[in-house]
Amino acid sequence: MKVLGQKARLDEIGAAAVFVVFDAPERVRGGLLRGLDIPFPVLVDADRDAYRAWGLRRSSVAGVWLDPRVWKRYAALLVRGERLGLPGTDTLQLGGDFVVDRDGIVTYARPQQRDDRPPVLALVSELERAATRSVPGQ
Amino acid sequence: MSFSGDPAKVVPPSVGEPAPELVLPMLEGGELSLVGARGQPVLVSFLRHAG
Repeated sequence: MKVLGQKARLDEIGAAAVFVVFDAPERVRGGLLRGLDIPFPVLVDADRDAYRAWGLRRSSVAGVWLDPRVWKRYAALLVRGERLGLPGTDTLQLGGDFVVDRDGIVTYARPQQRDDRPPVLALVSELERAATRSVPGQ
Repeated sequence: MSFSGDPAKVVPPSVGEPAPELVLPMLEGGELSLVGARGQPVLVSFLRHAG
C-alpha cells in the first residue's frame, strides 16, 4: 500500500493504479483500509474470479504462517487497531502486482509466491517505462 | 463481473501477453473495467487479506 504515497508521481507520468481485494467491503473498510484515504479505485472480487483469472494462487499454511514477514504485517495491523482472527477471510490467498501498458499488454508481472511485494519504487519505475514506450503508429 | 480467457487457467499472465479482462465493482460503488483505462499504463495490485 506504499503506492498510495506515489499518487502525485503517477499523475505526472499519466499512469493509473487499481487495487483489488477479496474480503467483504465492510471488512475492508474496517481493516485493511482503516484510516486510509485511498486515492485509487479499490475493486472488490468477492468470489475471487479475478484472482483465479490472473493466476494468483493460495499459499500453504506453512508458507504463510512460518514467514516472519507475515507476523510483522499482522503486528502492524494490530497496532492500527484491527481485530485479527475474524471468520470469513482467507489468510492463504496470495496477491500480486502487474503493470499493464496503454495497449492492454502486461509489461510487468510479479505474482506473490509468499508474503512479499516488490519495492514501491520498482513499481513506479515499471509504470514510467510503460508510459514512455512508443505507441505504434504515432 | 466478467473475465476473459479460460477460467481454468492458473498461470499468471506473462510479460508481453494481453492482460486478462478485469471488470469488478468498486468499493465505493459503480463498476470499473480495465479496458476503460486503455491509453494509460495501469498498476493492477491484487492484495492479500493483510494488504
